Amino acid sequence: MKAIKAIATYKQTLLSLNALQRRANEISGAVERAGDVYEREYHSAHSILFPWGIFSRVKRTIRRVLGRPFFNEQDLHVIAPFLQMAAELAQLVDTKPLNEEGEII
Amino acid sequence: MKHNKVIHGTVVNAMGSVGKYMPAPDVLAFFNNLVSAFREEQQTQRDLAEIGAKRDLLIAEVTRRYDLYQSVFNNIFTERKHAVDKHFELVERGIATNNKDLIVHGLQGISTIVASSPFANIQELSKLMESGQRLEI
Repeated sequence: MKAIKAIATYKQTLLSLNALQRRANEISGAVERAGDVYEREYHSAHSILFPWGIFSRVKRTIRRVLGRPFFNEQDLHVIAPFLQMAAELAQLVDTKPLNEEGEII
Repeated sequence: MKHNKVIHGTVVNAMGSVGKYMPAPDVLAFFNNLVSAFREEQQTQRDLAEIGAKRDLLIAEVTRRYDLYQSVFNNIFTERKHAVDKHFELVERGIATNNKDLIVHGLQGISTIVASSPFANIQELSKLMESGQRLEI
């Protein structure tokens, strides 16, 4: 009976480990792919907001010195979806496979 | 019947020949002990067979339950992967058409799926599996 209980415990542990591995793969795979999307969108947004590099930055700084916002309303249309993407990526990164007690969630 | 008589005769002859070496009551006691030991041996064999059968049954049950859970988890994770892939397709389409809303929508779907626990209904599932009901995954 002890041997059978040991087999059952071993099978249960194996099942938990397999499930944990698959859960971890799911999270890390999603984070990795979403990270790629975020990076691509970051470069895309950056090139829209700062098409002439340092000159665009200088232009915006001058605008701010003159009392106008650094980013205008048109820029916000570029930034807003990008911020949403960042929030979704952050949520993915914060996903935990284990709870405080070390149980798979 | 004739065969039994032959055996009986042989046993009596054997007892007679043993009687040359030990007293008759001791011979009877010896044969009684022998029969008793034989019966005990048979009982032990039966007990061992019963224990073996119970062991096989329990191991089969443990394996069956493990395989069932494994299969359920496989289905759950395959379904989730399929859903995540579908959302990434949306994201890719959004990137291809420069549709930011589609990208955000796709990422929202992915984070919702991944943030939700695949084991959220595991207690319920265990109860269903223990009750032996048919499961639709």
